Amino acid sequence: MHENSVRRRLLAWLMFPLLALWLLGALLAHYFVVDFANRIHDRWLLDSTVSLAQQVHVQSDKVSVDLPAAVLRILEYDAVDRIYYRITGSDGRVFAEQGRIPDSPAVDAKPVFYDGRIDGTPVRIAALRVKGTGGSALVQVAETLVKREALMSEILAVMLLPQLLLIAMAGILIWYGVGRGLGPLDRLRDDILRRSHRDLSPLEASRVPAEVAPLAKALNELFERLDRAVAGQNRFIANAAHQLRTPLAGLKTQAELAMREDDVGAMRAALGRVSAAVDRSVHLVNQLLALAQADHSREHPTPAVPLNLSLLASEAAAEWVGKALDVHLDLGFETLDETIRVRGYADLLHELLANLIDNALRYTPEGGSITVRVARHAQGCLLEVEDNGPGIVPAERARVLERFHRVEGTPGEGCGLGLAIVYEIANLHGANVAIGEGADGRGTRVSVMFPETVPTVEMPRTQNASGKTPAATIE
Amino acid sequence: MERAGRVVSKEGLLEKLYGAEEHAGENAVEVFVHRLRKKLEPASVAIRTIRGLGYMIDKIPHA
Repeated sequence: MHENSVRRRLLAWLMFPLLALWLLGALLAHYFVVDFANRIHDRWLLDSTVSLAQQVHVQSDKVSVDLPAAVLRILEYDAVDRIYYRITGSDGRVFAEQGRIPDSPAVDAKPVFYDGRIDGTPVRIAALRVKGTGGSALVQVAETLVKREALMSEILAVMLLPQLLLIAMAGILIWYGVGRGLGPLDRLRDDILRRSHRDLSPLEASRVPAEVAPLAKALNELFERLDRAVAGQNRFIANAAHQLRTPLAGLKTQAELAMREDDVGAMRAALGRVSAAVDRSVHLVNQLLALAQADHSREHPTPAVPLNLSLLASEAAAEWVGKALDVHLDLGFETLDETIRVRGYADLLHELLANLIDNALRYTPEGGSITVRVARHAQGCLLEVEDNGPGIVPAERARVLERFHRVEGTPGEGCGLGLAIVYEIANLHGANVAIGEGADGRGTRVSVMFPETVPTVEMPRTQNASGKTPAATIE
Repeated sequence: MERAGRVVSKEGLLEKLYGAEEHAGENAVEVFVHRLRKKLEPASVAIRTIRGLGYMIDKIPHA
Protein backbone atom coordinates (compact mmCIF):
# COMPACT_ATOMS: atom_id res chain seq x y z
CA MET A 1 0.00 0.00 0.00
CA HIS A 2 1.44 3.32 -0.99
CA GLU A 3 1.59 6.06 1.60
CA ASN A 4 0.90 8.61 -1.05
CA SER A 5 -2.66 7.75 -2.09
CA VAL A 6 -4.84 10.23 -3.96
CA ARG A 7 -7.93 8.64 -2.50
CA ARG A 8 -6.67 8.84 1.05
CA ARG A 9 -5.51 12.36 0.54
CA LEU A 10 -8.86 13.50 -0.83
CA LEU A 11 -10.64 11.67 1.93
CA ALA A 12 -8.44 13.22 4.61
CA TRP A 13 -8.85 16.69 3.08
CA LEU A 14 -12.59 16.22 3.10
CA MET A 15 -13.25 14.34 6.31
CA PHE A 16 -11.06 16.14 8.79
CA PRO A 17 -12.34 19.62 8.02
CA LEU A 18 -15.90 18.36 7.82
CA LEU A 19 -15.68 16.63 11.15
CA ALA A 20 -14.03 19.67 12.70
CA LEU A 21 -16.80 21.87 11.35
CA TRP A 22 -19.40 19.41 12.54
CA LEU A 23 -17.87 19.50 16.01
CA LEU A 24 -17.90 23.28 16.03
CA GLY A 25 -21.49 23.22 14.89
CA ALA A 26 -22.35 20.76 17.61
CA LEU A 27 -20.84 23.01 20.27
CA LEU A 28 -22.77 26.01 19.01
CA ALA A 29 -25.95 23.96 18.74
CA HIS A 30 -25.52 22.73 22.27
CA TYR A 31 -25.30 26.27 23.53
CA PHE A 32 -28.45 27.37 21.74
CA VAL A 33 -30.43 24.25 22.53
CA VAL A 34 -29.74 24.66 26.24
CA ASP A 35 -30.96 28.22 25.95
CA PHE A 36 -34.17 27.23 24.16
CA ALA A 37 -34.94 24.34 26.45
CA ASN A 38 -34.48 26.52 29.49
CA ARG A 39 -36.67 29.25 28.08
CA ILE A 40 -39.47 26.78 27.42
CA HIS A 41 -39.32 25.07 30.78
CA ASP A 42 -38.65 28.23 32.72
CA ARG A 43 -41.98 29.52 31.51
CA TRP A 44 -43.78 26.50 32.90
CA LEU A 45 -41.81 26.76 36.11
CA LEU A 46 -42.83 30.37 36.34
CA ASP A 47 -46.45 29.39 35.85
CA SER A 48 -46.24 27.09 38.85
CA THR A 49 -44.49 29.73 40.87
CA VAL A 50 -47.08 32.37 40.01
CA SER A 51 -49.90 29.99 40.86
CA LEU A 52 -48.36 29.39 44.24
CA ALA A 53 -47.60 33.07 44.75
CA GLN A 54 -51.25 33.98 44.13
CA GLN A 55 -52.22 31.99 47.20
CA VAL A 56 -49.75 33.83 49.39
CA HIS A 57 -51.00 36.82 51.43
CA VAL A 58 -48.76 39.17 53.27
CA GLN A 59 -50.08 41.27 56.09
CA SER A 60 -47.43 43.24 57.89
CA ASP A 61 -45.30 40.48 59.32
CA LYS A 62 -47.69 37.68 58.84
CA VAL A 63 -47.57 35.54 55.82
CA SER A 64 -50.32 33.13 55.13
CA VAL A 65 -50.77 30.61 52.39
CA ASP A 66 -54.28 29.99 51.34
CA LEU A 67 -53.84 26.60 49.91
CA PRO A 68 -55.43 23.35 50.92
CA ALA A 69 -53.03 20.43 51.22
CA ALA A 70 -54.61 18.62 48.31
CA VAL A 71 -53.85 21.49 45.99
CA LEU A 72 -50.30 21.64 47.25
CA ARG A 73 -49.92 18.00 46.50
CA ILE A 74 -51.09 18.60 42.92
CA LEU A 75 -48.53 21.33 42.66
CA GLU A 76 -45.88 18.92 43.78
CA TYR A 77 -46.98 16.22 41.42
CA ASP A 78 -44.86 15.58 38.39
CA ALA A 79 -44.38 12.26 36.71
CA VAL A 80 -40.79 12.89 35.81
CA ASP A 81 -39.28 15.66 37.85
CA ARG A 82 -39.42 16.47 41.54
CA ILE A 83 -40.81 19.84 42.59
CA TYR A 84 -39.80 21.74 45.72
CA TYR A 85 -41.06 25.01 47.12
CA ARG A 86 -40.36 27.49 49.85
CA ILE A 87 -42.08 30.58 51.05
CA THR A 88 -40.06 32.99 53.13
CA GLY A 89 -41.04 36.15 54.88
CA SER A 90 -39.13 39.40 54.49
CA ASP A 91 -37.30 38.71 57.71
CA GLY A 92 -36.11 35.37 56.42
CA ARG A 93 -38.54 33.29 58.44
CA VAL A 94 -39.63 30.25 56.51
CA PHE A 95 -43.36 29.74 56.42
CA ALA A 96 -43.66 26.76 54.18
CA GLU A 97 -41.03 24.52 52.75
CA GLN A 98 -40.73 21.37 50.78
CA GLY A 99 -37.08 20.61 50.14
CA ARG A 100 -33.98 22.58 51.06
CA ILE A 101 -33.91 25.13 48.31
CA PRO A 102 -30.67 27.08 48.14
CA ASP A 103 -30.96 30.81 48.70
CA SER A 104 -31.72 33.04 45.78
CA PRO A 105 -29.88 36.10 44.67
CA ALA A 106 -31.71 39.39 45.25
CA VAL A 107 -35.24 39.30 43.91
CA ASP A 108 -37.24 42.44 43.39
CA ALA A 109 -40.13 43.00 41.06
CA LYS A 110 -39.14 40.56 38.38
CA PRO A 111 -38.89 36.79 38.77
CA VAL A 112 -35.40 35.39 38.90
CA PHE A 113 -34.24 32.04 37.58
CA TYR A 114 -31.14 30.34 38.83
CA ASP A 115 -29.50 26.95 39.12
CA GLY A 116 -28.64 25.11 42.27
CA ARG A 117 -28.54 21.73 43.98
CA ILE A 118 -30.89 20.02 46.37
CA ASP A 119 -29.44 16.95 48.09
CA GLY A 120 -26.79 16.86 45.41
CA THR A 121 -29.26 16.83 42.52
CA PRO A 122 -29.11 19.78 40.16
CA VAL A 123 -32.30 21.86 40.02
CA ARG A 124 -33.65 24.95 38.31
CA ILE A 125 -35.19 27.49 40.67
CA ALA A 126 -37.64 30.31 40.05
CA ALA A 127 -37.99 33.04 42.71
CA LEU A 128 -40.82 35.57 42.91
CA ARG A 129 -41.50 38.33 45.43
CA VAL A 130 -45.01 38.83 46.64
CA LYS A 131 -45.72 42.30 47.94
CA GLY A 132 -48.34 42.88 50.51
CA THR A 133 -49.27 45.53 53.02
CA GLY A 134 -46.27 46.20 55.20
CA GLY A 135 -44.01 43.54 53.84
CA SER A 136 -43.25 40.97 51.23
CA ALA A 137 -42.68 37.30 50.89
CA LEU A 138 -40.35 35.34 48.68
CA VAL A 139 -41.81 32.42 46.83
CA GLN A 140 -39.37 29.89 45.36
CA VAL A 141 -40.15 26.85 43.28
CA ALA A 142 -37.45 24.40 42.19
CA GLU A 143 -37.58 21.48 39.82
CA THR A 144 -35.08 18.85 38.76
CA LEU A 145 -33.75 18.91 35.22
CA VAL A 146 -34.82 15.56 33.87
CA LYS A 147 -37.38 16.87 31.41
CA ARG A 148 -35.13 19.70 30.32
CA GLU A 149 -32.22 17.45 29.65
CA ALA A 150 -34.38 15.01 27.78
CA LEU A 151 -35.58 17.80 25.53
CA MET A 152 -32.07 19.07 24.93
CA SER A 153 -30.77 15.61 24.09
CA GLU A 154 -33.61 14.96 21.71
CA ILE A 155 -33.17 18.21 19.83
CA LEU A 156 -29.40 17.80 19.60
CA ALA A 157 -29.70 14.22 18.44
CA VAL A 158 -32.19 15.13 15.77
CA MET A 159 -29.91 17.88 14.57
CA LEU A 160 -26.47 16.31 14.79
CA LEU A 161 -26.87 12.63 14.06
CA PRO A 162 -28.22 13.07 10.54
CA GLN A 163 -25.33 15.45 9.87
CA LEU A 164 -22.88 12.81 10.98
CA LEU A 165 -24.62 10.30 8.80
CA LEU A 166 -24.37 12.62 5.81
CA ILE A 167 -20.68 13.13 6.45
CA ALA A 168 -20.12 9.41 6.62
CA MET A 169 -22.00 8.90 3.38
CA ALA A 170 -19.96 11.65 1.75
CA GLY A 171 -16.85 9.81 2.82
CA ILE A 172 -18.04 6.58 1.31
CA LEU A 173 -19.02 8.31 -1.92
CA ILE A 174 -15.62 9.99 -2.16
CA TRP A 175 -13.89 6.68 -1.60
CA TYR A 176 -15.89 5.05 -4.28
CA GLY A 177 -15.87 8.06 -6.59
CA VAL A 178 -12.11 8.36 -6.58
CA GLY A 179 -11.83 4.72 -7.43
CA ARG A 180 -14.08 5.22 -10.41
CA GLY A 181 -12.37 8.47 -11.37
CA LEU A 182 -8.97 6.82 -11.45
CA GLY A 183 -10.26 3.99 -13.59
CA PRO A 184 -8.77 5.36 -16.83
CA LEU A 185 -5.36 5.28 -15.19
CA ASP A 186 -5.71 1.55 -14.83
CA ARG A 187 -6.19 1.32 -18.56
CA LEU A 188 -3.09 3.45 -19.04
CA ARG A 189 -1.15 1.19 -16.71
CA ASP A 190 -2.26 -1.88 -18.60
CA ASP A 191 -1.26 -0.27 -21.88
CA ILE A 192 2.21 0.45 -20.59
CA LEU A 193 2.60 -2.96 -18.96
CA ARG A 194 1.74 -4.70 -22.17
CA ARG A 195 4.54 -3.02 -24.08
CA SER A 196 7.86 -4.65 -24.70
CA HIS A 197 10.94 -2.66 -23.80
CA ARG A 198 11.36 -1.83 -27.45
CA ASP A 199 7.91 -0.36 -27.90
CA LEU A 200 8.24 3.41 -27.69
CA SER A 201 5.09 4.33 -29.56
CA PRO A 202 3.09 7.23 -28.08
CA LEU A 203 0.34 6.65 -25.49
CA GLU A 204 -3.27 7.27 -26.42
CA ALA A 205 -3.66 10.62 -24.76
CA SER A 206 -7.32 10.95 -25.74
CA ARG A 207 -8.58 8.38 -23.27
CA VAL A 208 -6.79 9.86 -20.30
CA PRO A 209 -8.45 12.24 -17.78
CA ALA A 210 -7.66 15.95 -18.24
CA GLU A 211 -5.59 16.19 -15.08
CA VAL A 212 -3.32 13.34 -16.14
CA ALA A 213 -3.05 14.41 -19.78
CA PRO A 214 0.07 16.52 -19.15
CA LEU A 215 1.70 13.46 -17.61
CA ALA A 216 0.81 11.35 -20.63
CA LYS A 217 2.11 14.07 -22.94
CA ALA A 218 5.40 14.27 -21.05
CA LEU A 219 5.72 10.49 -21.23
CA ASN A 220 5.12 10.59 -24.97
CA GLU A 221 7.80 13.20 -25.43
CA LEU A 222 10.16 11.08 -23.39
CA PHE A 223 9.34 8.08 -25.58
CA GLU A 224 10.10 10.14 -28.63
CA ARG A 225 13.46 11.26 -27.30
CA LEU A 226 14.30 7.72 -26.27
CA ASP A 227 13.26 6.46 -29.66
CA ARG A 228 15.53 8.91 -31.43
CA ALA A 229 18.41 8.16 -29.09
CA VAL A 230 18.00 4.42 -29.51
CA ALA A 231 17.68 4.78 -33.27
CA GLY A 232 20.82 6.91 -33.32
CA GLN A 233 22.70 4.37 -31.28
CA ASN A 234 21.53 1.54 -33.50
CA ARG A 235 22.63 3.39 -36.60
CA PHE A 236 25.99 4.06 -35.07
CA ILE A 237 26.48 0.45 -34.05
CA ALA A 238 25.43 -0.76 -37.47
CA ASN A 239 27.79 1.68 -39.16
CA ALA A 240 30.66 0.88 -36.85
CA ALA A 241 30.21 -2.86 -37.30
CA HIS A 242 30.07 -2.44 -41.03
CA GLN A 243 33.16 -0.28 -41.04
CA LEU A 244 35.13 -2.62 -38.82
CA ARG A 245 34.49 -5.53 -41.13
CA THR A 246 36.61 -4.08 -43.89
CA PRO A 247 39.93 -3.62 -42.12
CA LEU A 248 39.43 -6.86 -40.19
CA ALA A 249 38.72 -8.75 -43.42
CA GLY A 250 41.85 -7.22 -44.89
CA LEU A 251 43.72 -8.29 -41.76
CA LYS A 252 42.63 -11.88 -42.15
CA THR A 253 43.67 -11.91 -45.79
CA GLN A 254 47.07 -10.47 -44.98
CA ALA A 255 47.59 -12.97 -42.18
CA GLU A 256 46.69 -15.88 -44.42
CA LEU A 257 49.02 -14.62 -47.10
CA ALA A 258 51.80 -14.33 -44.55
CA MET A 259 51.25 -17.89 -43.42
CA ARG A 260 51.64 -19.12 -46.98
CA GLU A 261 55.04 -17.54 -47.42
CA ASP A 262 58.00 -19.87 -47.18
CA ASP A 263 60.61 -17.21 -47.54
CA VAL A 264 61.30 -15.61 -44.15
CA GLY A 265 61.98 -12.24 -45.70
CA ALA A 266 58.72 -12.32 -47.63
CA MET A 267 56.91 -13.52 -44.57
CA ARG A 268 58.38 -10.68 -42.56
CA ALA A 269 57.20 -8.23 -45.20
CA ALA A 270 53.74 -9.77 -45.17
CA LEU A 271 53.62 -9.61 -41.39
CA GLY A 272 54.58 -5.96 -41.72
CA ARG A 273 51.49 -5.45 -43.80
CA VAL A 274 49.45 -7.33 -41.16
CA SER A 275 50.81 -4.97 -38.55
CA ALA A 276 49.81 -1.98 -40.67
CA ALA A 277 46.32 -3.41 -41.03
CA VAL A 278 46.13 -3.83 -37.27
CA ASP A 279 47.15 -0.20 -36.92
CA ARG A 280 44.34 0.83 -39.18
CA SER A 281 41.85 -1.23 -37.17
CA VAL A 282 43.15 0.20 -33.93
CA HIS A 283 42.86 3.65 -35.36
CA LEU A 284 39.27 3.00 -36.38
CA VAL A 285 38.38 1.65 -32.96
CA ASN A 286 39.97 4.67 -31.28
CA GLN A 287 38.04 7.02 -33.50
CA LEU A 288 34.83 5.16 -32.74
CA LEU A 289 35.54 5.46 -29.06
CA ALA A 290 36.25 9.16 -29.43
CA LEU A 291 32.93 9.58 -31.17
CA ALA A 292 31.14 7.59 -28.50
CA GLN A 293 32.83 9.71 -25.87
CA ALA A 294 31.59 12.88 -27.55
CA ASP A 295 28.10 11.41 -27.75
CA HIS A 296 28.24 10.37 -24.12
CA SER A 297 29.33 13.84 -23.06
CA ARG A 298 26.32 15.23 -24.81
CA GLU A 299 23.96 12.87 -23.02
CA HIS A 300 25.60 13.37 -19.64
CA PRO A 301 26.81 16.94 -19.53
CA THR A 302 29.16 18.05 -16.79
CA PRO A 303 29.91 21.71 -16.24
CA ALA A 304 32.24 23.27 -18.81
CA VAL A 305 35.22 25.15 -17.42
CA PRO A 306 37.09 28.18 -18.74
CA LEU A 307 40.16 27.12 -20.73
CA ASN A 308 42.99 28.95 -22.40
CA LEU A 309 42.37 28.02 -26.02
CA SER A 310 45.62 29.57 -27.26
CA LEU A 311 47.63 27.45 -24.87
CA LEU A 312 45.63 24.31 -25.54
CA ALA A 313 46.12 24.70 -29.31
CA SER A 314 49.82 25.49 -29.09
CA GLU A 315 50.41 22.48 -26.86
CA ALA A 316 48.47 20.20 -29.20
CA ALA A 317 50.50 21.50 -32.14
CA ALA A 318 53.76 20.92 -30.24
CA GLU A 319 52.72 17.28 -29.71
CA TRP A 320 52.49 16.68 -33.44
CA VAL A 321 55.63 18.53 -34.52
CA GLY A 322 57.77 15.41 -34.35
CA LYS A 323 55.46 13.45 -36.58
CA ALA A 324 55.18 16.39 -38.97
CA LEU A 325 58.94 16.54 -39.31
CA ASP A 326 59.01 12.79 -40.01
CA VAL A 327 56.89 13.35 -43.09
CA HIS A 328 58.72 16.56 -43.94
CA LEU A 329 55.86 18.88 -43.21
CA ASP A 330 56.18 22.28 -41.59
CA LEU A 331 53.75 22.44 -38.66
CA GLY A 332 53.47 25.78 -36.95
CA PHE A 333 51.29 27.80 -34.64
CA GLU A 334 49.98 31.33 -34.94
CA THR A 335 48.17 33.62 -32.60
CA LEU A 336 48.04 37.30 -31.82
CA ASP A 337 46.81 36.72 -28.31
CA GLU A 338 48.08 33.99 -26.03
CA THR A 339 45.22 34.34 -23.58
CA ILE A 340 42.10 33.66 -25.63
CA ARG A 341 39.76 31.68 -23.41
CA VAL A 342 36.64 29.63 -24.00
CA ARG A 343 34.34 27.55 -21.88
CA GLY A 344 34.64 23.85 -22.59
CA TYR A 345 36.20 20.49 -21.95
CA ALA A 346 39.98 20.21 -22.22
CA ASP A 347 40.18 16.53 -23.17
CA LEU A 348 37.52 16.85 -25.87
CA LEU A 349 39.11 19.95 -27.37
CA HIS A 350 42.43 18.13 -27.33
CA GLU A 351 40.78 15.31 -29.27
CA LEU A 352 39.32 17.83 -31.71
CA LEU A 353 42.73 19.38 -32.33
CA ALA A 354 44.36 15.98 -32.68
CA ASN A 355 41.88 15.01 -35.37
CA LEU A 356 42.29 18.25 -37.31
CA ILE A 357 46.07 18.09 -37.23
CA ASP A 358 46.13 14.40 -38.01
CA ASN A 359 43.91 15.02 -41.03
CA ALA A 360 46.18 17.78 -42.27
CA LEU A 361 49.23 15.57 -41.83
CA ARG A 362 47.64 12.69 -43.68
CA TYR A 363 46.50 14.55 -46.71
CA THR A 364 49.19 17.19 -47.22
CA PRO A 365 52.05 16.02 -49.42
CA GLU A 366 55.67 16.32 -48.36
CA GLY A 367 57.15 19.77 -48.28
CA GLY A 368 53.83 21.35 -47.44
CA SER A 369 52.97 23.40 -44.40
CA ILE A 370 50.26 23.28 -41.80
CA THR A 371 49.28 26.06 -39.44
CA VAL A 372 47.26 25.87 -36.26
CA ARG A 373 45.75 29.25 -35.50
CA VAL A 374 43.76 30.81 -32.69
CA ALA A 375 42.27 34.27 -33.20
CA ARG A 376 39.49 36.48 -31.91
CA HIS A 377 36.65 37.21 -34.25
CA ALA A 378 33.39 39.11 -34.32
CA GLN A 379 31.46 37.58 -31.44
CA GLY A 380 33.81 34.96 -30.17
CA CYS A 381 36.98 33.26 -31.27
CA LEU A 382 38.32 31.05 -33.99
CA LEU A 383 40.35 27.87 -33.98
CA GLU A 384 41.72 26.96 -37.40
CA VAL A 385 43.91 24.35 -38.96
CA GLU A 386 45.08 25.31 -42.40
CA ASP A 387 47.17 23.37 -44.86
CA ASN A 388 48.38 23.83 -48.42
CA GLY A 389 47.51 20.34 -49.53
CA PRO A 390 45.10 19.35 -52.29
CA GLY A 391 42.07 20.93 -50.60
CA ILE A 392 38.45 19.78 -50.59
CA VAL A 393 36.17 20.61 -53.50
CA PRO A 394 33.17 22.71 -52.52
CA ALA A 395 30.76 19.93 -53.42
CA GLU A 396 32.30 17.63 -50.85
CA ARG A 397 32.74 20.13 -48.06
CA ALA A 398 29.42 19.46 -46.38
CA ARG A 399 29.74 15.72 -46.71
CA VAL A 400 33.19 15.35 -45.21
CA LEU A 401 31.69 16.10 -41.80
CA GLU A 402 29.54 12.99 -42.08
CA ARG A 403 30.55 9.81 -40.37
CA PHE A 404 32.50 7.31 -42.42
CA HIS A 405 32.61 9.60 -45.41
CA ARG A 406 35.81 9.71 -47.40
CA VAL A 407 36.21 11.70 -50.56
CA GLU A 408 36.60 9.43 -53.54
CA GLY A 409 40.09 8.93 -54.75
CA THR A 410 41.69 10.07 -51.51
CA PRO A 411 44.98 8.38 -50.93
CA GLY A 412 45.91 7.17 -47.49
CA GLU A 413 44.04 5.05 -44.99
CA GLY A 414 41.86 7.21 -42.84
CA CYS A 415 38.56 5.84 -41.62
CA GLY A 416 36.36 8.83 -42.40
CA LEU A 417 35.55 9.69 -38.80
CA GLY A 418 38.04 12.45 -38.07
CA LEU A 419 35.91 15.40 -39.15
CA ALA A 420 32.76 13.77 -37.78
CA ILE A 421 34.44 13.74 -34.39
CA VAL A 422 35.48 17.35 -34.83
CA TYR A 423 31.89 18.21 -35.70
CA GLU A 424 30.45 16.43 -32.65
CA ILE A 425 32.88 18.01 -30.23
CA ALA A 426 32.39 21.46 -31.76
CA ASN A 427 28.64 21.04 -31.38
CA LEU A 428 29.05 20.13 -27.76
CA HIS A 429 30.82 23.45 -27.29
CA GLY A 430 28.20 25.38 -29.19
CA ALA A 431 30.74 26.00 -31.94
CA ASN A 432 30.32 25.93 -35.71
CA VAL A 433 32.59 24.08 -38.14
CA ALA A 434 33.32 25.63 -41.54
CA ILE A 435 35.44 24.17 -44.32
CA GLY A 436 37.12 26.44 -46.78
CA GLU A 437 40.34 27.05 -48.69
CA GLY A 438 43.67 27.99 -47.28
CA ALA A 439 45.69 31.03 -48.25
CA ASP A 440 45.80 31.89 -51.97
CA GLY A 441 42.76 29.72 -52.50
CA ARG A 442 44.77 26.53 -52.15
CA GLY A 443 44.63 23.77 -49.61
CA THR A 444 42.13 23.31 -46.82
CA ARG A 445 41.18 25.43 -43.87
CA VAL A 446 38.92 24.02 -41.20
CA SER A 447 37.58 26.73 -38.91
CA VAL A 448 35.89 26.09 -35.60
CA MET A 449 34.03 29.19 -34.44
CA PHE A 450 33.31 29.41 -30.76
CA PRO A 451 30.35 31.62 -29.91
CA GLU A 452 31.81 33.54 -27.02
CA THR A 453 34.97 34.06 -25.14
CA VAL A 454 35.58 34.01 -21.43
CA PRO A 455 37.12 37.22 -20.06
CA THR A 456 40.85 37.08 -19.82
CA VAL A 457 42.30 36.45 -16.42
CA GLU A 458 45.98 36.33 -15.56
CA MET A 459 46.90 32.68 -15.18
CA PRO A 460 49.73 31.58 -12.90
CA ARG A 461 52.72 29.92 -14.52
CA THR A 462 52.38 26.58 -12.83
CA GLN A 463 49.18 25.68 -14.62
CA ASN A 464 48.97 24.26 -18.09
CA ALA A 465 46.26 24.84 -20.66
CA SER A 466 43.53 22.94 -18.89
CA GLY A 467 43.86 25.12 -15.84
CA LYS A 468 45.03 22.29 -13.61
CA THR A 469 48.44 21.55 -12.21
CA PRO A 470 50.01 18.88 -14.41
CA ALA A 471 49.81 16.13 -11.83
CA ALA A 472 46.05 16.35 -11.91
CA THR A 473 45.66 16.13 -15.67
CA ILE A 474 43.51 13.26 -16.81
CA GLU A 475 45.40 10.88 -19.06
CA MET B 1 69.61 15.06 -25.98
CA GLU B 2 66.97 14.00 -23.51
CA ARG B 3 64.86 16.71 -24.95
CA ALA B 4 65.18 15.53 -28.50
CA GLY B 5 61.84 15.58 -30.29
CA ARG B 6 60.29 17.89 -27.75
CA VAL B 7 59.39 21.46 -28.53
CA VAL B 8 60.69 24.10 -26.17
CA SER B 9 59.15 27.54 -26.29
CA LYS B 10 61.13 30.74 -26.37
CA GLU B 11 59.78 31.72 -23.01
CA GLY B 12 60.83 28.36 -21.62
CA LEU B 13 64.36 28.85 -22.91
CA LEU B 14 64.48 32.38 -21.57
CA GLU B 15 63.58 31.10 -18.15
CA LYS B 16 66.11 28.33 -18.23
CA LEU B 17 68.90 30.61 -19.38
CA TYR B 18 68.33 33.73 -17.38
CA GLY B 19 66.04 32.66 -14.58
CA ALA B 20 62.74 34.31 -13.77
CA GLU B 21 64.40 37.53 -12.65
CA GLU B 22 65.96 39.02 -15.73
CA HIS B 23 64.12 39.32 -18.97
CA ALA B 24 66.79 39.69 -21.52
CA GLY B 25 64.35 39.77 -24.42
CA GLU B 26 63.62 37.42 -27.29
CA ASN B 27 66.60 38.58 -29.23
CA ALA B 28 68.89 37.11 -26.67
CA VAL B 29 67.28 33.71 -27.14
CA GLU B 30 67.64 33.89 -30.91
CA VAL B 31 71.29 34.80 -30.63
CA PHE B 32 71.86 32.00 -28.19
CA VAL B 33 70.16 29.45 -30.43
CA HIS B 34 72.14 30.66 -33.42
CA ARG B 35 75.42 30.08 -31.56
CA LEU B 36 74.26 26.74 -30.25
CA ARG B 37 73.38 25.65 -33.77
CA LYS B 38 76.84 26.33 -35.03
CA LYS B 39 78.39 24.37 -32.21
CA LEU B 40 76.11 21.38 -32.53
CA GLU B 41 76.25 21.04 -36.31
CA PRO B 42 79.41 18.94 -36.38
CA ALA B 43 77.69 16.50 -34.01
CA SER B 44 74.79 16.02 -36.42
CA VAL B 45 72.41 17.72 -34.07
CA ALA B 46 70.08 20.35 -35.50
CA ILE B 47 67.96 22.87 -33.73
CA ARG B 48 64.82 23.40 -35.66
CA THR B 49 62.73 26.52 -35.45
CA ILE B 50 59.08 25.57 -35.07
CA ARG B 51 56.81 28.36 -36.27
CA GLY B 52 54.97 29.96 -33.38
CA LEU B 53 56.05 27.31 -30.90
CA GLY B 54 59.78 27.54 -30.24
CA TYR B 55 62.67 25.20 -30.95
CA MET B 56 63.29 21.50 -31.17
CA ILE B 57 66.43 19.41 -31.17
CA ASP B 58 66.61 16.93 -34.01
CA LYS B 59 69.16 14.72 -35.66
CA ILE B 60 70.49 16.04 -38.93
CA PRO B 61 69.63 13.42 -41.54
CA HIS B 62 72.66 12.29 -43.46
CA ALA B 63 72.29 13.75 -46.87
